[in-house]
Amino acid sequence: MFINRKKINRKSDRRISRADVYLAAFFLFLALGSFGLSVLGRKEGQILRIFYDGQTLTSMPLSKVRTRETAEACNEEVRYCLILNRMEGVSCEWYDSAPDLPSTVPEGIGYNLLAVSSSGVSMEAADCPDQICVHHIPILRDGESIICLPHRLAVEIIGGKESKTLDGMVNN
Amino acid sequence: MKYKSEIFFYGTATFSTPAIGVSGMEDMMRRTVELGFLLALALILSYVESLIPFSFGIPGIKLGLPNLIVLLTMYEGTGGKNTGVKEQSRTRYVKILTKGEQEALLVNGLRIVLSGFLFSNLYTILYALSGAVFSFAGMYAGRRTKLFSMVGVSVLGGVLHNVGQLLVAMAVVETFAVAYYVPYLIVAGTVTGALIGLAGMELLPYLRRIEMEGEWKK
Repeated sequence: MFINRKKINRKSDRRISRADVYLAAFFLFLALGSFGLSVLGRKEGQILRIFYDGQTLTSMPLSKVRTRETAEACNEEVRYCLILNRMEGVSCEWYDSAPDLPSTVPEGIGYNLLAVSSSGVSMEAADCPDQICVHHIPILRDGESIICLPHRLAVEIIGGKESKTLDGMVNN
Repeated sequence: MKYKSEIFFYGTATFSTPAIGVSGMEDMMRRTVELGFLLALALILSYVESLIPFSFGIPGIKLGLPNLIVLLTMYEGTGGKNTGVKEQSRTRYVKILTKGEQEALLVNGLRIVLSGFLFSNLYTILYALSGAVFSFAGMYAGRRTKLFSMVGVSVLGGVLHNVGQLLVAMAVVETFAVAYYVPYLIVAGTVTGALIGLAGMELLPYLRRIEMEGEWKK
């Protein structure tokens, strides 16, 4: 690399070619197109579903949270879901107030603490090494998700037809 | 770049085995030194990148500073011989990977493994390696079309890195729910790839101009 070359500064290497601009424009249009598609087909999601390793752990209609909130007026209702990653399996427990993590989480067990409210679902805390899921913006709309790769956990919001039946079940 | 220890190199070279020959020894030593230098640079850059708080709430968006070194290695390679695609196609044997590309793979792979063990964990290493493989495939294809300059090659690498990591994430968690990241990740890959490509374009002539002052004569 550090050898004097006769052809220093070959011109082809120092110029942005037209193909580069086309490529960048193509990618930007592609992004714009897919963004437009996803925005058009997007509405507020109905069900919160938690996946572990491709299998559904639990699913819970978000309307549960919403109706509680309207009943208690201005106080924003937040429910917490603590997902414990044990050796023998994954468990998921719901709390009405933030659980005290050191006392509820046994030693040596991975956990994810999910905060569910009407303004969105976000990961409150987790002990995964990269903490990507904790920094994730809150999700609210249909099809959005938070994934925690180290714990093989996916939290997603889905909507659609099946939501009606589930809503009905909850109202009953 | 001045080697303070040129006497050491010269001394070793004179006592080299006849089978390899003096020039072969010197070539190997030079490549080793330069590859180590590049690896150190890439490691430093990945550490610097881990220090920058650069979070948009969408995972996977990062600057990709180490890719600058990978890009430069890919274009230049080490040692005195030409490694460009154009030069390669003029020889009788067209290799699948040029020397620079082999070395880029080597430097990037070692960089990921080392920075993974130094700053994070095994899981990150695997995840980063998969991104590196996709990114390399993109840059390789971009170079072989001979249409793009460094910026285009880097953009291809950046976008494919992001898309590849997304695919791996889908496979690991076994869900398609992350697909809504795609537009963000494509934009991020394009922008950061273009920035890295521009930086590489500016740096390449300077790297070519640097002369080793140690005596490497036969």
